[in-house]
Order: sequence, then structure tokens, then C-alpha cells
Amino acid sequence: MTDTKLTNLYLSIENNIEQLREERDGKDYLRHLNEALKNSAGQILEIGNAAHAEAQIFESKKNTSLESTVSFLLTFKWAETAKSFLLLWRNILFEQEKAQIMLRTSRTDDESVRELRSRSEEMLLNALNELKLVVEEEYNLAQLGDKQREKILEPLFAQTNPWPTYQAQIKEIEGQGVILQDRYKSLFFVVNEFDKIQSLVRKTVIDCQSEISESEMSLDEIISYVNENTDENPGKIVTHLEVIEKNILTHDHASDFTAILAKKTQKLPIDSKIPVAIYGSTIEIKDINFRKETRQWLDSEILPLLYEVWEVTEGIRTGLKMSLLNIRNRALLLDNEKKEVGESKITTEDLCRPLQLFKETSQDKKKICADLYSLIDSRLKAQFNVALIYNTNGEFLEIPLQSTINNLVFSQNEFFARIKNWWIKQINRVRLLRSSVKREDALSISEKVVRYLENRTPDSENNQYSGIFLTKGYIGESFRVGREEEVKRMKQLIEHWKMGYRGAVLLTGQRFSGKTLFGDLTSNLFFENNTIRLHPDSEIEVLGRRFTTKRKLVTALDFIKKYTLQSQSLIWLDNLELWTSADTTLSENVRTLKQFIDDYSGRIFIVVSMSNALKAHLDKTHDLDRFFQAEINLDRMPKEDISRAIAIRHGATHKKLINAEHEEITPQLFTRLTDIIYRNSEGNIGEALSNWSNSLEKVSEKEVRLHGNPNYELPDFINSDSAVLLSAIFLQKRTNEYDLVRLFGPSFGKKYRNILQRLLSLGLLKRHLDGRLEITETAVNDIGRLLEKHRYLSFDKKN
Amino acid sequence: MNITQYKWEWAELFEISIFLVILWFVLLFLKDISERAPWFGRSKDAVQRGMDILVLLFEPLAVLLLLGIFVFIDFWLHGLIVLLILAGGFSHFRNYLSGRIVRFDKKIVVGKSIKSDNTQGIIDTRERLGLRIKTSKGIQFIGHSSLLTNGYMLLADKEIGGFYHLRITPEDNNEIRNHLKYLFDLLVTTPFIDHSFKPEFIETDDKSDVISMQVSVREKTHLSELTNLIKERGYLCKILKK
Repeated sequence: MTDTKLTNLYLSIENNIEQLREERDGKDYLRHLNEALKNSAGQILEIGNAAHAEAQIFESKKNTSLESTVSFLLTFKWAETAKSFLLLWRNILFEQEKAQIMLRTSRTDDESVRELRSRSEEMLLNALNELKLVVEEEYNLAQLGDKQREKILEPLFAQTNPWPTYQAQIKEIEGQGVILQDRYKSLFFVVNEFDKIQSLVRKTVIDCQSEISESEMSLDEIISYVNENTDENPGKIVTHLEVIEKNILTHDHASDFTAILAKKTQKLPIDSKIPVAIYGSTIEIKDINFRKETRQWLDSEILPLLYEVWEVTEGIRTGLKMSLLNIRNRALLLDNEKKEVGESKITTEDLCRPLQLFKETSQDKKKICADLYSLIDSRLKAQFNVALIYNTNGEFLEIPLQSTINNLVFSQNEFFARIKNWWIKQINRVRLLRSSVKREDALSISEKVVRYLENRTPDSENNQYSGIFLTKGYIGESFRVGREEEVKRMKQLIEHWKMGYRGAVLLTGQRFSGKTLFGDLTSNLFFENNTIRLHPDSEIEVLGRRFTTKRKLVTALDFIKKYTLQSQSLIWLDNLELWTSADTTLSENVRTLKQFIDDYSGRIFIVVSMSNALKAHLDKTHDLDRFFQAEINLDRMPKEDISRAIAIRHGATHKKLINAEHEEITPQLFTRLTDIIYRNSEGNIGEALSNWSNSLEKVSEKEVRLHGNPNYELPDFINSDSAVLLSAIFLQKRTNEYDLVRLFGPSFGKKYRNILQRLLSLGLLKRHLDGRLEITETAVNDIGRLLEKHRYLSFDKKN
Repeated sequence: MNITQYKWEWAELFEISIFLVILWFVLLFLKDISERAPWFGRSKDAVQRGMDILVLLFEPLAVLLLLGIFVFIDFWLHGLIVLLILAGGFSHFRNYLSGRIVRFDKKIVVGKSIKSDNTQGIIDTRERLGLRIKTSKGIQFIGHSSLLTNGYMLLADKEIGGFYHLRITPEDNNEIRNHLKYLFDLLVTTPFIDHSFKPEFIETDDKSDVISMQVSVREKTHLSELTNLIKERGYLCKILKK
């Protein structure tokens, strides 16, 4: 029986070795090795147990038969060799697993692994032969007779049978095989995760390098475009650069990378016991916290380099934007100068110089980036390798001494690691803060002004949306929002007027607060078909009679009073500030108006609109307050009304407002956005609508989204000279150079004309096709605030 | 509990000093950021004013706090020391505190013309205890407390205007025109006048159409621009006095 079992054992082992020889796949090879170890161990235990049971019986009877001898030989001598055989098998399993890991991590090659297998198989065969022959001599002697058997057995009878010990050891070896297999799987998983982390690191650097290359390509394209268009049409350069600048996207590499890295390192095991070496029968196990050690190593060896790469990339991106801004300013100046004067001192070289300079610096930065990439790559290849776990002379993912000193305090436990990470984050935040302040510092006032104006220019591709959204004037009841209190008040004033009281109302407010709209609303609600709209240089009709107004109020009012004897009409005088000319001053017109109100406001209802600034000014000079029954100020509209106005107008565009994930924004977010718009515009309805429209960009024919650009403020560029000029233009709303010459006298030619040109080239003043000058609409209210701050006029009603 | 029994330690004084020094640098950093960063929007002015006030008041408050702690280390001895110092340097202490108030006036800067009591000159340096004024006789030191006590006037110069009395006479007496009305209409919209103060007209002489006018300008240069404008309109314009 025992013979049969032994034969089966040897045959089984031989078969296993043969099958191993044929196995090509590494995974299958290991699985086979492990199964064979388990089977062999099982069979050996079976043989040993049977022999031990028999030996115990034979020992009690002092049996010296051949069977007894075999049992004793098996349990005393054969078992030890069998155990050694299994140890060898286990060791080979370990070495093969190690070889697979090293092959996977490119620390060895297929050839070496094949050689190892071949040697392992040879060793197994030799060990098997040894096992077969270990008790052959004694067995042959035992077959000679009793006396020989007695000689063999007597010393063995006197000893404790060692089989129980061998049994335990063999079971342990069998268990170790299972453990080795588990640990191998775990280590292989770590190898895969390490690969992913390496890919992530390389990808972020490659992305940065691509970004730099794209910037370089843009540079060349821009330089050639500028060269082609400088002489013919510099205005085109501005538009083209706008488009390019919009396409330079901000990408927060650091945040993306750290978020993904955190997810990947989270998957790594924290408490792994990995067999790393075998010394005889002992397996050396290393306790490794892969997660912690990987994070530490990446933090000390890779992240500092990556931060540099990201900084360099961001520096190049920002530098490109700054250069574009610079060129755009120059192109604007060039365009304006060519339009004004016909020629300009700015040459193509001047225009391209910022880009040339930028190109030179970006070459150096690109080289720095490439060097950093090489360093990162070499560190990853050399050190970030799971196979190094088998290096018993050093630590796994060893950190150099300096980094270790830096990490020493914080590497004790997870809590300190978190503190350290938080601290690094704060340092980086402060660095970002400082660099953004530095960038801001580097900008001149003119550049900040241009940036401000550009920020308030609607997206040219979104004209369809802004065209509908920003429709001015009274466009029907469905678009009317708010002003209920003001309408109620106006109604009451009209009722009082009908009862015989003074009918003169002043509408005041900032630009775009809705004075004109409210005046039109009053006309439509209370004086339909009975309104005389007074504008300078226009035609009015009263009872079929036509009259062309110039800028002299007295003639217009004389005409009106003559032909409105029987009717209770409304005179709607919008923008009193426009009633001025070389022949008739504003002051004269105001005096006329005051007289008219005193004489005729009993039978004609008069509504006059003007800015807060002009009202405050005329109060001092003409005591205007006394002549009007009431003043309705339209500076502020309630938040809910503005929100509703935006919602209604947005609805009229039939476009969907989506977020970054291409989903329509929720009503709550819409409300939050309109709240922000309300706060930024300080309740001015016109500004709120304008801000909303400017903050959107076209996504598709049916979709728009917020572009998320920061809301830049107008820098305080005001000095005493520009303040004088701007406040004069602000009060007049619209003027021309002829009027300014009359207003300023000799000093206009000597001093203020140059200031005017500068303000025009900055974009703060605009010249219309008819030669009229006015303050750029998008900046007029902010300029008013600045002038008020410097005490040149009263912009807000409260003052 | 008796106030004299309240005790602080030297170590605590030291710790609080360190803390106040760090806080001082943080305040300076924040002040710098508030001046240079673009994030505050329309609140920037308010934030800057707040930071200016904090920085101005920090020093005296910090000194007061440290003195207080110093006294309470050994109430009788240290209190006596502080009293003696205060008594001996009371005028300097007063100048220092007055200086904090004077510094709230942003117009008092080096290079400005100033007059206080009988001293008139240009501010040469601003010190903790007073101003050094460069006069025609030399450099005079005026303590902050006497500036506040005697008052001071920043004199009109390129950047500071003032009230001016003008006498205006038509060049051509034969021209029929209501000169008062004409000039009034002209000046309503002229940009050179500081319209915070309404111009005052006095027709001094019915026969000769001489008009006296009192106007305020923001800067002295505007005055000459105004007179040139008036002259261009056919009037002789003389600046009588300030």
C-alpha cells in the first residue's frame, strides 16, 4: 500500500514537473506550482500519517517486520527529505513569483525567467530523485533479514517518532504556499496601481508640454497675422487677438492631478506583509504601508518637480495672455491714430515686440520643463518600482536624507501627514496669492482700463442673444417689470394735477436706470395719444401742426403752449442735458423751463428727466427743486424685479442657459446668479441687464453659458485734468469738440484736446459717426462714481 | 479683588510682544494686499480705509497694552517707573498721540505748503512727534499737539485751490447785453469752477457794468483757465484777492 502511494506520489510530482515545462503563461505557471505544492504536501502527509499510525502499532509490539521497518524509515528519514523537498518547492514558488513581479516591472526579461524555470525544474527533479533514494540503502538492507532489520529499528524504537513535528511543518509549508499566492496577488495589484500613477504623472507633464507647444504655435501664427494686417487694417488684429485670447483656457493642473492621485493612492493597501526573501527555511516578511510610503515618496520626490512644471506652464500661459493684451492695446492705439490722424508712429516691429520677447523667454521655460520631465521620468523608472521591495539592503521607496529630514516630523502618523499636506496647500495658496498680486501690480492703469472695457464687451458670437436681451425702450406690457410704486406715485401726481395742482415731475437717476423707459411708460399709461415728446433737433406735431425743435427750449415751448390750449397734454422732455448749443446755453433753457412750469404746469403736465449729477448741479445754480411738484428717482430697482426682468428677457431669447456639464441650470442657481448681478449693479436695471448679457457666451445655436471671467473694476485713473474734462462731458451726456472748445476756452487747444485724445484711445470716450462725443456706455456709471469719489460731481441721489 | 494683586509674568509680556509683532507684520501684509489686489471691487476703498485706520491705531494700542502688562508685573515698582516716564516725557507722549490724529488727514504730506500759528513753509519731513517745516529762515519743528491746538492751513498751490475774488469788466461797453446773466449762464456749465460752492455775483456799478464775483476752484491752474475763458468772451478779468 505504502509502495503504491509512494509510486503515485513520485509519478504525480514527475507529471507536475512535466506540465510545468509545458506551461507558457506566467500566471498559470504559478498557479500550477502552487497546486502541485498543495497536492504533493497532501500526498506526503497521507503517506506520513499512514506510516506513523503503522509505526506506532509496530513499536508497541516491537515488530521488526519489513512493513514495520518501512514505516519507521518513512517517518524517521523519508519525512525529513520530503519536508526539504516541499521547502524547495515553496522556495521555487517564491522565486517564480518574484521573477514574475520583476518581469512585469521590467527589471528582468523573458529569457532570464525561462532560464530560472528551467533550473527550478531541474532542481526539482534532482530533489525528487534524492527523495526516491533517501531510504533505498536501508530498505535494501532491511530486505536481507530480521537481524538487519533489528539493527535498523532498535535505535529508532528508542526515539520519539518525529512524524508529528514533520507533519506540523509540512502543513505549515502547505499554508505558506497559500499565503505566498495571496501576497503575490496583492503585490501584483500594487504593481498595476503604480503603473497607473506613473501614467498619471507622465500625462500631466505631457499635457503641460502640449500646452507650451500650443502657445508656441499660437505665437508664430499671431506674429504672421500681425505682420500681414498692421498696415491695412489694425482693427482686425484686435478682433483676431480677442478670439485667440478666449481660446487660451485656464487649466488647473494641480487640482486635477492631486484629486486623481488621491483617489489612486487611496486604493493602495495600508497593511501588507510581503515575503521579500528566503533564508533557508525562513521567509523574510516586510511590513509595508504602500499607501503611506507611496504618498510620502511622491510628495518628496515628484510633487515638488510637478509644481515647478505647473508653475512654468502657467507662467507661459499668463505671459502669452499679457503679451496679447499688450499687443491689443497697441493695435487699438494704432487703429485709433490711423482713423484720427491717418498715420501712426507705431510700427509692425513695435506691435510684435512683446511677442518676440515672450517667445525668447518661453524657449528657456520649455527647456526647463523638458529637464524637469527627464528628472521625473528617471526618478519614476529608478525608484518608483514595486520590484525594489525585494531589495533587502535598502528601504522600499527610499527618500533621500534631506527629504527625510523635512518629512521626519510629519511622517510619524497619518494625522501629521494631513497637517503637512494642509500646510503645503496653504503655502501654495499664499504663493498663488502673491503671484496674482504681482501680476496685477505689473499692469499699468491703461492696461487695467482696457481689461475692464474688454470685460464689459459682449461676446461677439453671442450677438443674437444680446440683441434680443438688451432691446431698449418700451416694448410692451409683457416685458414691463416692476416700478409699481413709482407708477402709483405718478398716478397720484397726475390725479392731483387734474385737481388743479402743479403738474411738473422730475425723473432722476444714473445712466441706464430706466428714466426714458419710465417716461414712455407714463406716456403710454396715462397720456396715450396725448404726449408731446420733446427732443432737441427733432420734429413735433401738435394738432396736426409740425414744428422742428432746435436746441432753444423757449421756441418749442412757445409753440406747444399756443396749440395745446384745449387739451390736457403731457410734455415729456427726456434728457434735459442735451438742450444746449452755441447760441443757447443750458442755463438759459433751464430758466425758460422754470418759467414755463410756473406759468403752464396747471394745464400741461410736464415730465423732465436728467441725471442725478445734473440735478444736483442745477439745484445749486437754479434752485431747481422748488419748481417741480415731485422728484422720482429711479436709481434702484428691487432685487426681485431685476431677477424677473432678467428671467423674462432671457426667456424671450429662447436659449437654454447651461452649466459646465451641459445641463440646464437650476432655478435656485439662476436666482443666485441674478442676486450677484443685482449686487454688482447696485440695483441699476440697465447695468444689471448689460452685466448679465456680457457674462454669457454662446455654446451653440440654442445654448448659452456663463463664461466665468472675473468682474474687473475700473481702476482709479482720475487726475484733476481728466476729471475736469470727464465731468463736463458727463454732465452734457453728449457733446462735440466745437462745444467743448466753447466751454473750455483757450485752454482746450493747449491742454484738454490732448487729454480728450488719450481718453478716446483708451476707449473711455467714444466718438460717434456724426462726430458726437460721449463717455463709453459700459463705463459711464463707474466713471461717475469715480468722479463723485474725487468730488467733481454728485453721482448718487443720496449725495 | 484688589487691582494691585492682579499679576502678569515677564514670560507673558514676552509672548504677547511676539504676538503683537507678528500681528503687526500681518496687518502690513494685509494693507499691502488691499492696495494692490483686484479682488475687492467697489469695496476696495472701504477696505483700504479700514486697513489704514487699523494700522494707524495699532501702534499706540499695542504700546498701551504692553505698558499695562508691564505695570501689572510689579504694580508698585513698574507703575512708578511708568508714571515717572510719563511725567518726564508727557509733552512727547501728547505729541505722539496727536500725531496719530493728524495722520488721518491724508493731505498732510511732504512737499505741501502749510501754515500754523506764525510758521509758514513747506513740509520737509513727517516724524512721529511732529513736522519739520522748511521756512525762509530755516527748518522749524512743530509738534503735532500744537498743530491741533493752534490749527493749521494747507496753503493753496498747484494741487489746492481756494476762494478767489474776481473783478470782471466788459471790454466793449457799447455791446448791449445783460452781462450778469451772460456770465452767470457761462459759469453754470464751466468746468473750471468747484461747483460745490455756488459762485456769487455782485454787480458793483450799474453804469460801468463792473461785476464782482467770488468763485471757488479746486486747483490754482483752473483759476487761470477760468480767467482766460472769461477774457475770450470779451471781458477783462482781474484777480483781486483770495
